[in-house]
Order: sequence, then structure tokens, then C-alpha cells
Amino acid sequence: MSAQILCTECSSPVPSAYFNAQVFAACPSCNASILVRAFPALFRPPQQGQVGERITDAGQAACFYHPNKTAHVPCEACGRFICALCDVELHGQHLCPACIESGRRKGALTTLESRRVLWDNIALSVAVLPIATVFLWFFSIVTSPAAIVLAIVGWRKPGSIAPRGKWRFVLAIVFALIVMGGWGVGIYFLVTRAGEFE
Amino acid sequence: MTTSRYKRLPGRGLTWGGPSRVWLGDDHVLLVLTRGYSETYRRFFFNDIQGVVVRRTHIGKIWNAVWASFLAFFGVLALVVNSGPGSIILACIAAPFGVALFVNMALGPTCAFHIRTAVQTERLPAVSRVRAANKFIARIEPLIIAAQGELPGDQLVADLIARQVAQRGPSVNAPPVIGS
Repeated sequence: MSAQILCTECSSPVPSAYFNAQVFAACPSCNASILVRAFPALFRPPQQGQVGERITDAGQAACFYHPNKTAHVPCEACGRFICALCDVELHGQHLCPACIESGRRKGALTTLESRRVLWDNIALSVAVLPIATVFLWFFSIVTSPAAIVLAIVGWRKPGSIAPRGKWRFVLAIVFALIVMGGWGVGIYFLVTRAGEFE
Repeated sequence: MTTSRYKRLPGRGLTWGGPSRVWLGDDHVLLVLTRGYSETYRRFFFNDIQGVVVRRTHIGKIWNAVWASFLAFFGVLALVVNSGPGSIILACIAAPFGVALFVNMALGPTCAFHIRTAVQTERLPAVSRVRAANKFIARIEPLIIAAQGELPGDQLVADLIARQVAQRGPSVNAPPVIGS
């Protein structure tokens, strides 16, 4: 990408005179009302990727993943020697690709997470949807206990990265308990009054 | 849990897929897109943000027209119908549209907010009002400047022009340089 900012309506370059203006201005191409803020990163040259240096001396330490490249730094998680090509700097730590992948898979590196399952939404939906759809209410005899199990299991699982309360879990459990109570009362009356109909 | 490190930023939006919010992290802005039973995250690090573009949109005016037309339709109908209960029922139907119109007008004009980095220009659906966009910029601009440093206005323009000229190469209309 070049060092220019494009109008988000017509994709034509925005004149630099528009940068960091305090009020909206009309795009010269499409007349859309735009406000642009530019920051020094726009003018920074693109960073060059590092390549590992080849081993020239037999006594040099080699990269664990590239035996013909010199070791640049040890991985701060596993201690393996890695070359400049394998070195990934994350929050000031030098890590190797294997540790990055392992950390991402285990959820230890939240910075690399791009998706999380919302167990509270699942539990709440399982509890509420059969009743809310009305005609599927009889499924609630199965879904209510399932919602409680899901809420208990999901409580301990990692939730949203952003702040998010546990009230959906609580609501799912309370709603499921009420429905189960309703079922209990219904079954009780069905059993005790069964004789009266005979 | 690592939830405490994020602070809420102004803006709350709704996309076709679900709600969207933005959060302020230690060194980045986190865009959260909720899609039913999962959330997807996009991070924009202060050091990487090259610019933001706010463009006014007409969506707010369109919604104003929609709510106003429903309000007018049921409002006029409530006045035309002579029966007391009928008028009350129609007025009750018209009232939510009036509230929606009032709320939409109170929230102010709408906008499309984009963040540009070296590799992408991403829309933040959560920032959909001009007022929220101004608050958002006021909140993150000092943090971006702290991460990247301040850029004087003159240098900004000069750098840009120099870079654009370098990319395009010498103009074909420019006179030839003698001795090169």
C-alpha cells in the first residue's frame, strides 16, 4: 500500500491538505463528507523482513529449524536456538514458530486469538429457545437439563476476551430450573390425578 | 481471565451478522464482532495505525424518513378515526415509531469509520455515529501519538508529496535534466 489515504466512498486518493483537519470536508472526487486523521506510521518505510545468516564457521551455533543458518537468539519459551528468520518477537519476547503455534492452540497467547466460543449464549439459547418458539416447548424436558450442564461446563471455559459478565449463565440456569420445576409439577399432577380420570 | 485489561470505547453498532463493539487495550484497539455463538476479534495496534477516515452517511436520514412515515401514517389515522378506542390503539401503535424517530435524531448523524494500517483498511461497524467517532478519535489519538510520535503538519505534507513523486517517477512532461 502506498503512503496515501483513499476516500472510503470512491477509493480516490484524499489530498494531503485534508489530513488532520478539524472539520469534515467534501471529497474532491465524489463530494462525500470526510474527516481524515493521518499518523506518522503512514510515512514510515515498510519494514524489511530478516533473513538468517548462513553458517560460515564450524563453531557457530545453528538454528534448530534451519541447520545451515546461524543461531540469532534462544526461544524464550522452549530454549531452542533460532535464526533471525524463525525469530518472532511478541510483546518483547523472542519466540520460535512452534511455541507461537502451541501457545495459540492452548489459548496461552490471547493476543493471537481471533475467535472464541460464547458458551453463555449457547446455554441461554438452549434454555430459552424451545419455550420461546412455543410449538417446540415439549423439547424443554431435555433442553433444560442440557442448558444447566452447558452453563456449568461453560462457566470454567474461557469466555470473551472483552469484559463480559456471567449473568447469561445465571439466567440460563434459573430459567432452566423454572422450566424443570414446571415439568415436575406437571408430571406430579398427571400421576396423582391419573386415577381420577379412570 | 484477562478481561480486566480492556476498557470500553465509545460506539456500539449492529451489522447483519450481529452486534459489534470496540475496546481499548494496553497497546491496541480491539474490534469485537459477535456472530451468534462466537466472537471474532480484530486488533489494531497503536504503532501500526496509519490513519482513520470518517465518512458521513445517509443511513440516519433514511431511518428518520422510515420512522417519520410510520409515525405520520398511524398518527394521521388516529386523528381521522373518530372512535375513541380506535384512536387510542392507533396512537399506541404510532408512539414507538415516534420514540424511535426521537432516539435516532438524538443520536445524531451517522458515519462510516475506517482504520487504515499498512496492510488493510478496516471498517469499524461499532463506530456508526459522528459523535461517537469524534469521541473515539479524541480517546485514541493521544495514545497513537504516544506510540508513534507527533508529526508536524508541514512535514506531513512534504513527506507525502516527496513519497508520491518518488513512486510515480519523473513526469513525462518535465524537462529533461541535463548531465544526468
